[in-house]
Amino acid sequence: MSQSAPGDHLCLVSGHPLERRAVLSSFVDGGLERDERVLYHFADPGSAAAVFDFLDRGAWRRYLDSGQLRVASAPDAYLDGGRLDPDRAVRTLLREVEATLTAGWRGLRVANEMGWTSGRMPESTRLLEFENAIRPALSGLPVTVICQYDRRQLARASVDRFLRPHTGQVGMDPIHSDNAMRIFPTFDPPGLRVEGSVDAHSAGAFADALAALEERADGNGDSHLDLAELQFIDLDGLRHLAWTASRLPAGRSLVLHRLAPHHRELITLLRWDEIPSLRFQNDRS
Amino acid sequence: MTVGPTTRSRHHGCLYASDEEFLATTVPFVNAGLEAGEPVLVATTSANLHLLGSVLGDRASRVDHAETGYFGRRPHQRVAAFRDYWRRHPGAGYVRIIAEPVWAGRSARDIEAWQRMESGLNLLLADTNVWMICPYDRRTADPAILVDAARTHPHLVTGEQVTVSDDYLEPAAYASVRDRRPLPDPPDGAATAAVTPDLGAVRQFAASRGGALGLSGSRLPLMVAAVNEAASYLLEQAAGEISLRLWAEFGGVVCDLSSTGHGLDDPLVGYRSPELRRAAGDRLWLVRQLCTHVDTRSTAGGCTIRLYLPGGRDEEPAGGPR
Repeated sequence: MSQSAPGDHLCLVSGHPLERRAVLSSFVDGGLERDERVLYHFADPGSAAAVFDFLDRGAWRRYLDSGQLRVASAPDAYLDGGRLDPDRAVRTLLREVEATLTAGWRGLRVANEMGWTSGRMPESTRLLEFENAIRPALSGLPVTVICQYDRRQLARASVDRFLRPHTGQVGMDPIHSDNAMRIFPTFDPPGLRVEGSVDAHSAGAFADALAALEERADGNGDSHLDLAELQFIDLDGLRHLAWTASRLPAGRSLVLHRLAPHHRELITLLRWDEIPSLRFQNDRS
Repeated sequence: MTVGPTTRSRHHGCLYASDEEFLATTVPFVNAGLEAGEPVLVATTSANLHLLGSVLGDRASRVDHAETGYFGRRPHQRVAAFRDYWRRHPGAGYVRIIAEPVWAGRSARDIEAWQRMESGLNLLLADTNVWMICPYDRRTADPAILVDAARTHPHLVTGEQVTVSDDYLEPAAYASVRDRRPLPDPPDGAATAAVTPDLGAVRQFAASRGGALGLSGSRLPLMVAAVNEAASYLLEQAAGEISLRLWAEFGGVVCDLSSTGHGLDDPLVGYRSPELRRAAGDRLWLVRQLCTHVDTRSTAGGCTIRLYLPGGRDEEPAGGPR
């Protein structure tokens, strides 16, 4: 997550703490480095501890002391007597922007953990009102907001509803991205997700990514590729998969998750399905 | 054919006109193999299997056999089946194979593909110790097929007498003779596109036309894969302008890829199955696996790969061409 700009109201729907951590550390570090003030609203005191873990060891104390970083409870910041008043919550944000600029910082970044909303704040309508009010209220101001939702706590329909008020969704930076193919790290299981097409043009980048896969092996030493969003893969790409699997140390596997049946058929034709260390898993997301 | 010190393969044609003539060649060949403890495979018609089996008696139990139509549905599968059988029998003096192709009832296109394979076997088995006899039944095979049997086999065998075939052509020469006859022109209504290095655009074109021609299920993405591999092959191997034409005809969808460059000089490209190490012909091997039939032409003006893919109304079992 490298590209955020003032005025953005972003949404992070995360399925794994490590993904959250990678995105947020980049967001927080990026703001601190650019002399922006950073406001982190945690859902509960337990999650606050994790926030400090994001930051360089020891460095956060300096930022806290200078006031450039503030870590505070989201319910305390946004709730009034346990209830969310969307107008009041937006005014809170505006006050923070004003204080930030008065203190001479170049801008403000706000990271909101929204986990508190599922436990203590059943009024999802009011929450949506708050989310809808953020963008118009902060328009033109040097402030970037990230709202974090936990994928496991939200039904699919709700994810879409809560995404709508945001200017964009953030996630991990791809380790490779071009017009045809994007490759992202995954965390559960650890590995890579490949989107798009692997053909004569992208096979080289695909091979480079696979070469780094072993470093992301799981506890059993197995490497994982999520291929659900793989649109196309040519002979060279399939060969890279077979090659990667065949040179793994004994007892370790390359597991291809959610490979489309016609791609699997090509591997069978090539007889590379006979490589014992190449395994297939059709789990659902 | 020159037989170097490392190549021990033999490829004999046997033109027979009666059951007796068939047995006069095949029985001594099988017996000699069994006596030497060599593997023996017989792939022929059910009639000839029955005939040979009844003469061999108890010894028949040591003969591997297949009804010929099922031992490799298409020429490229036949080659793979031969090589598989050879690979499964390491260490033998010879791996003996009697292989009689089916000719009756085949289209001219099909016959050409099988004849090209017969010629190609001289190279495709060159690194093996396969000793192959290909019986041709004079009673049923077209005279033109018998003429080509002498062009595609370096030796002919009658009884146990092996003679050099005077009409034999090296595989490259045989292919260039066959290449002189041009492929029929694509129909006027064929969808046409230029193939550029933007393979995504090639795939998009193939997918949209293929869908319009009624391909669905896994047939559509597999057809797109075949077109992508053939286009990639020409882009990599044949510098020149490449055009793509796509149309439907009875039997399936046809995709024609023509290049003004030269990329098909090896007539056997695409017959050797891919290994983990990359080889130039691998893409065409995969193309052949995905198609019911592949025509190739290499002339002074360039080269053409024509793919015939199972259409939406193909009722052969799933994976029919494979």
